[in-house]
Amino acid sequence: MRRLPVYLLLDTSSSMTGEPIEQVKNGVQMLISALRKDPYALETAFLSVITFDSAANQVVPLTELVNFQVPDLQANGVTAMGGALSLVKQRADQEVNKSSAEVKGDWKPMVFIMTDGLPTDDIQKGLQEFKEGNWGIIVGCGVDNADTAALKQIAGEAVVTLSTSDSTAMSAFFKWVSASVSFGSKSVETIGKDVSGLDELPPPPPEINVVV
Amino acid sequence: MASFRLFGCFRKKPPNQTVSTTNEENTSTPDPDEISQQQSCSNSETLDSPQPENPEAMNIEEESETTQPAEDPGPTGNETTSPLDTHQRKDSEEETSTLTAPADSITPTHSSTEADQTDSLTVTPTEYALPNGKDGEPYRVEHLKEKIFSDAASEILTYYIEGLDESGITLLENEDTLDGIPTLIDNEPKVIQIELFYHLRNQERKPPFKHKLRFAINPDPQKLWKNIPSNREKPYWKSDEDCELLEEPGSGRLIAASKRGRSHAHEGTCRDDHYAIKYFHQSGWWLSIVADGAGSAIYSRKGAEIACTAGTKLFEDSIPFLDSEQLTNAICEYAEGSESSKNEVFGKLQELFIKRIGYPVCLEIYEHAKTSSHKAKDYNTTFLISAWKKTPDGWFVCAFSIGDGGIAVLHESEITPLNKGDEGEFSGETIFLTSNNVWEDSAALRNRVKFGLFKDVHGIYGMSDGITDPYFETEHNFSQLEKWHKFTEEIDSHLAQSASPEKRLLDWMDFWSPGNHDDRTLTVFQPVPPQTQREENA
Repeated sequence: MRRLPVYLLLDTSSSMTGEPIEQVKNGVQMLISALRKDPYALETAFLSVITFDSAANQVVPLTELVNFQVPDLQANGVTAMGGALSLVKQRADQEVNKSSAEVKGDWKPMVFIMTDGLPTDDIQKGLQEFKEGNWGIIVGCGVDNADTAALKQIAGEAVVTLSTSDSTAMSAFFKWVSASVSFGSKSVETIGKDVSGLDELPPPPPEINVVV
Repeated sequence: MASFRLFGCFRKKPPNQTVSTTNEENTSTPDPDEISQQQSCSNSETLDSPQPENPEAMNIEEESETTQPAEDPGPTGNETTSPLDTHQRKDSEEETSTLTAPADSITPTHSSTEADQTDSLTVTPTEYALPNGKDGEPYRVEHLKEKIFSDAASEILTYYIEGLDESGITLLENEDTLDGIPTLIDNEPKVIQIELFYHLRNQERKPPFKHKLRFAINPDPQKLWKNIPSNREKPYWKSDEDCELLEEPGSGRLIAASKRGRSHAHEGTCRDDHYAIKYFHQSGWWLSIVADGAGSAIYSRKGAEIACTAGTKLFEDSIPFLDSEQLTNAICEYAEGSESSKNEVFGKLQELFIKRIGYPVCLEIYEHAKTSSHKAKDYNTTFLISAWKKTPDGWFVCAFSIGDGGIAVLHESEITPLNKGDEGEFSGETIFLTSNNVWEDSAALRNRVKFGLFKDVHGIYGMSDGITDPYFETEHNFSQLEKWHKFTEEIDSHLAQSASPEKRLLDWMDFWSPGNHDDRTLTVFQPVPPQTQREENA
């Protein structure tokens, strides 16, 4: 079986303290609940959560959706976004199977990165390592005053923004992530290829803005 | 005795901030944001002090009188540790957990005057996450105390659990085990939050402490798959399934079945796979074509169909070429081991499969696309063709393939694949009959032509990746005899002694394989066993 790996990179720097981090937590919980209603996702989706504040941490290793346990998230520290990019590349190298005569390869990993700030570490180093990876869809989500320029370097055109003052936007975003993951796992069978651009995903909800 | 760090979670809290603890407050389920937490400690530990590794600290709450709102560091909250949960943090999940006491009047059985008068307690950050369960499947968690309290489990005198009422799971108290079969309503996933109340040793008379537990029940994906009939109004509509049986006394029988995958059934879309089988009486040739229309191509179901019908027609036209004296002789000499004849056969088959069949079929799809004002890639399909005939030296089998799926001959306890799976490194992208680059690389093209002479043939198989993925998964496995034994045992037992083996094959195609729900197409040739042949001849 080809697995669909999904990496969630979540900013847990101190600026996310309070309502924003609660919204993200709820969002992840909602994402998981929504995916659990989708038979494609239940059978193929594997998720990992990487948080980044003063350092990047893989708080949930790549885990089958059915066994996934939503992590608690704490906000503090600065924004080691470059570290998160290095880490996700490193973890994907370890956790994602490539096809060979002996091994059934996974689908290219999907990456969703959410941040509300500017990278405080050397993003170029992380970015360079990240770009060496073989990714499926990459979506950047800027919250409030996020650095969308940095997100564009990571995710190309697939960058959306939303405001944490609007909790419906946050929940709309995670619903859209869920729809996108469902779509990705569905493509395993019905499309027979990876989705690779924003235009191949379900349209983002009106609550979130696509950065152009 | 176990050591635990009792006060890990206190360090973040202002020492003096307290809330008076009334019984009512403590009995309500704590809101994650307002977990009634720690007391100001009469043992004069300051909250910012290093955590005592002192088990006796557990008794502190007996003397404390106030609590304060908890700031919940959560399971990933670095060093903070729950009093009785020293190493389970990575397991804890969806929220934070509390170890709150007294639970006093929550349960009638435990409420007492004494309880009502006790206050406050310790608390902890984590909510312990039990393994997730699945709708309708047995759920069992043994050694519960150890799992939750780890080293401190021995400090737990008694415990009970509340909140399991409608979950289908019960606590087997004597066995320290959760057990049962959880069920969901309308396949709606749910998160079960329960509370574990426990007494510590030497505190039997105190009200119990409370620990939150949580786990999710997943729906059974099998119950979530829908089966929506395909829309007959769609262009190039085809039936959701198809099957066929060809029997030729003295030679064998060829059975084919093709079934729409669950992924299509779930969406109400059409089957993209197609097949064609034929026996040519005059020449004695058997033919199987399996074509798998690309999921990414809108009219691939038609592409697959054209590949089958045009392929069959072109093969039929080529039979005189195949049965030419020159090729027939070459096959005979090849059977005797002649290398030059082998090359001659190879050359002739290249002409057959590439020039006379494969490329013209590709052109026919282009032609159809043009007249329909569509792009050829809208009709992308794989193409696996195999043909065989009995000779004095055994079964001569030849094949040509573009794209994933498989062709193989099982013979004399050996498996010989007659194709090379065209799979990408990562994404399962394959190539198609209609791909330009297929026809540009003549060396690679020649390698797509395979043939052999086989004695004691058990079966000749052609299949789409809807079958190879769940049964063989990798190219390597496709050449492994033990994988084939499992596969053929299932097929043979299904087809044995059935008046309608083609329908049986179709039924078999409902097999369940998580994550593998593509269209499934299989052709199986079973030669008449030599013994039966003799009887028939007699």
